[in-house]
Amino acid sequence: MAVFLQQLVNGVSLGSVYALFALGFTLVFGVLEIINLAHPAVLAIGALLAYSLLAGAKTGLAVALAGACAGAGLLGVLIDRVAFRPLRLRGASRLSSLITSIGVALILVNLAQIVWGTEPLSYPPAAVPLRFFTAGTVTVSLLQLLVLALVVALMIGLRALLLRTRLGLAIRAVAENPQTASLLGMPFDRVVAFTFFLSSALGGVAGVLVGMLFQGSVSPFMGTTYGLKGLAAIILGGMGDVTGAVLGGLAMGVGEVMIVQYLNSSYRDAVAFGLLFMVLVLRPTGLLGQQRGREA
Amino acid sequence: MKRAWLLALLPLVVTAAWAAPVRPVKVGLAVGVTGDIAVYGDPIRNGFLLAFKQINGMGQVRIDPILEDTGGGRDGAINVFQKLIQRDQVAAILGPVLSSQAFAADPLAVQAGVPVVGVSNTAKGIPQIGATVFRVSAPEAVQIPKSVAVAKKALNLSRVAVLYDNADDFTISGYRTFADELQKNGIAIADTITFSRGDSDFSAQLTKAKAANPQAIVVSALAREGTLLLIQARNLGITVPFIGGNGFNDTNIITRAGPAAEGLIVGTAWVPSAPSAVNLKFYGAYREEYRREPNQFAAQAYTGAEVVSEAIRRAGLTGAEDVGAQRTKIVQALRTIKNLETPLGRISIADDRDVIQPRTYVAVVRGGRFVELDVK
Repeated sequence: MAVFLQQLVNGVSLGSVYALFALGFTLVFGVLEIINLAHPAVLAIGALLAYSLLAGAKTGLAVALAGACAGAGLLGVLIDRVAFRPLRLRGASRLSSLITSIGVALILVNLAQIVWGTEPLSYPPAAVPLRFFTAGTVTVSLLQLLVLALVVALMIGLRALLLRTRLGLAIRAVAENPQTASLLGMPFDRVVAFTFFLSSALGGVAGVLVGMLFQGSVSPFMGTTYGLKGLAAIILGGMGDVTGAVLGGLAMGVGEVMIVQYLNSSYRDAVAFGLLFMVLVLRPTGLLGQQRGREA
Repeated sequence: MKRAWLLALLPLVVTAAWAAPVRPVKVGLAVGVTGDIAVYGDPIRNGFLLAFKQINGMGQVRIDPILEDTGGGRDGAINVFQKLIQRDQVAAILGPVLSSQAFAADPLAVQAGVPVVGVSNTAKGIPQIGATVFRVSAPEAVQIPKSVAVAKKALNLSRVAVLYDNADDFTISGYRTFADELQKNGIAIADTITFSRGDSDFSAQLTKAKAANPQAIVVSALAREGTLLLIQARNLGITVPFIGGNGFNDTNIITRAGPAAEGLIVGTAWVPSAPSAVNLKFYGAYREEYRREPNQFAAQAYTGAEVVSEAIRRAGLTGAEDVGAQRTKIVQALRTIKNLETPLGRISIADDRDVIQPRTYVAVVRGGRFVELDVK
């Protein structure tokens, strides 16, 4: 029982990281129907920016987090401006955007290698709140709780932003029909730029949290694992759906961990992606996706 | 034009004076210096370049090292081998870093008759890839039995859990050797758990390993995953010692994992304190050149470069021969290397092209340093 509980904690913790990554991923998809494969690179750069602030500029954690958030957000705006907007203006296919995003990812990862090097880095231990709570034989870290709380808060906040505010209304209008929205006077490019800012800022925060959760994992390549798992999470939850992304991420995390514990660790990815395949066959819109699949 | 003509003549004059080679012999260095592989690739490149600098400085042979980045994948290694063999027309190749890359790329060299000397490939079956493949890195099949035997005595082991990376040839090979040796030593394997290269969260695997209640955890992993495993194990309250394969053979693991690395037991081909004159020369020069501590990989790379240079010297190459002849002669000369003084001790190349290294070590991390594990 204690082992099961510990594994549940591990699974929720892993899942909340997937969810955090998937939130930003699904936002851009929901609005623009672009699968932005540069998102993993943005996550890494967010984490690396925070590293420079913590280890280089010796700032506190709050400043580093804000810096990574803003830096990654601006990077997202830049990516849209340089890579996706020209394609939109030419009315290029979604496939072109997908391939372009792979190119952006390659460029970013290689630039990051030049700036930060290739060796995995750790945040200075003093800067990271390393506290552990033990109940019986189950260990939970403060960071794990923090990540989970943040994911839930961000999910609720994003939903409120999309459903309750004028900006959210504009985003949804653009998502629904870009042409009509523009004709009605919506500042299309600004709405898109803001969406990229928000999505990438979330990616940056995710990067910092991954870096804190797994000391010694901060590197230009740290996003790679999350790209595939995050994509799986948003497909599982329903493409473009914010709540679905979080539930999808948590389901992936808990599922993977339980497979390791109770089936066979070698089948972890096979079962995870097998389930994904089943979802695609049986319910192509995902667990929460509607037929339109475009809630955000 | 006139100057160029004079320059062309210069080597001839030099040859006449000191009987030195006419043209440098080209040696390809296939090393992954970008990507997560760079934790091994950096010290390996440094070891190569330092050795060739010293060797060229002595003037007996002249070598032109050509460095190419393979990255960490098999395809990168194949591309680099193709370029080195066909375009650069090198006489020999040192590298690649990972055993999985060697299995993919070495056959190209075998086909072209190009000698390859592996300096960090420790999986089973590397020299068996073909008649021109050699290595100076003691295989894990030799290293692991020693680690297991020493650890068994030191820790009085009877029950362990095994974790390994099932996405890499080297770590899989290491796992198999560990499993065999544990069985031979009568140590029970309470659980065998896998993960994949690139993973960051190992809490599921570690929780499962902890539940198996082992006296020690045996791990076959690369450095990045190994470091993360050590840190996360301590965070989960796992206190039993770890026994690692060659992937853990890196002082950077101690730097990154900090106190979590304490008690880690690793078989190693080199320790900084090895007292030979060649080792002291290597150790001092490396620290002076790169302002950091060399590690086992740097020492093995230096040794590999030394072995290739010695083969070129014995083959009496002047650089003027046709590259095919150079390649054949180097292969023949490599086979004759016996009791060569290197930072790894006096090593020989056996008939099966594998290294014979009489002295290897089992090290344990104590007080933030690798020290030799003594068994009373």
